[in-house]
Amino acid sequence: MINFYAEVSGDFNPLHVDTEFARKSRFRGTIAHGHIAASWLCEMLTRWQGAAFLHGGKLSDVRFISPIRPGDMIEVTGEITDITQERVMCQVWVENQKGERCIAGKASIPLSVKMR
Amino acid sequence: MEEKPELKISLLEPGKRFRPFVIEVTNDFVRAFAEAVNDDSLIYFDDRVARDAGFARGIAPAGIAGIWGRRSYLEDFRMPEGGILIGLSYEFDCPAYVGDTITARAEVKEISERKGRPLVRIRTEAENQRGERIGSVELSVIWPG
Repeated sequence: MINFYAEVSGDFNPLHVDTEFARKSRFRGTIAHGHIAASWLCEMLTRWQGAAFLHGGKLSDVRFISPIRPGDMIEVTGEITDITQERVMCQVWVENQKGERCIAGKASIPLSVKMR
Repeated sequence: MEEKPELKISLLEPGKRFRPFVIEVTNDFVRAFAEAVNDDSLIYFDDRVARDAGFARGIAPAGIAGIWGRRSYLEDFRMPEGGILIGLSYEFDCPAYVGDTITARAEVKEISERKGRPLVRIRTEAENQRGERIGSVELSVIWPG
């Protein structure tokens, strides 16, 4: 997945694709691109709210807490934190097989869609 | 092909703008992206499923923002080795569809310091060929010193 994403995105940062370089880095091995995890959050929010997410939706304050490594099993999830008359707000995150949150952020999605 | 110059920190300053990055949203690109991130949603390839979700027809995955957001400042440069993405935000105004052309424009918003290394915040705005705003990406990157 990491190598395929590098091909599609053009991001060949050696931390992602060069095992020797990454092994000598503070990450002690290759790690997944942060944008891969962001795309999973987007996929979850699109599957959940459909067009509303892409018409005024936001994924914000995404922080990379710990690296996602080859072989990790990932769960992408979230919880609603607030609902107003206009928007639903959530915390969203990606966690690994140890239950550790690797990436976390916020999502805000409009409750009505102005289609374009 | 001539190698692109490194985008060294000395070339960056708040307000710096980059040449617009243009990407065609082709069916092949959408398929490759979806496969790369293991996203098997039919919303990208089945117009009926997309319409059921409120879209006009099959869309491009929202996550392609990560590609145009990053490439918008690397069209004429290559990233120095060792850069680390530590934060991001995406905003969406309308979906990208197969057949669209996205133009993404990046600007350096702020340069600060984190643990002795430069922390660069770059914001990219994207629009489609009709001038409609697709959305924006903001990235915080610890730059190689």
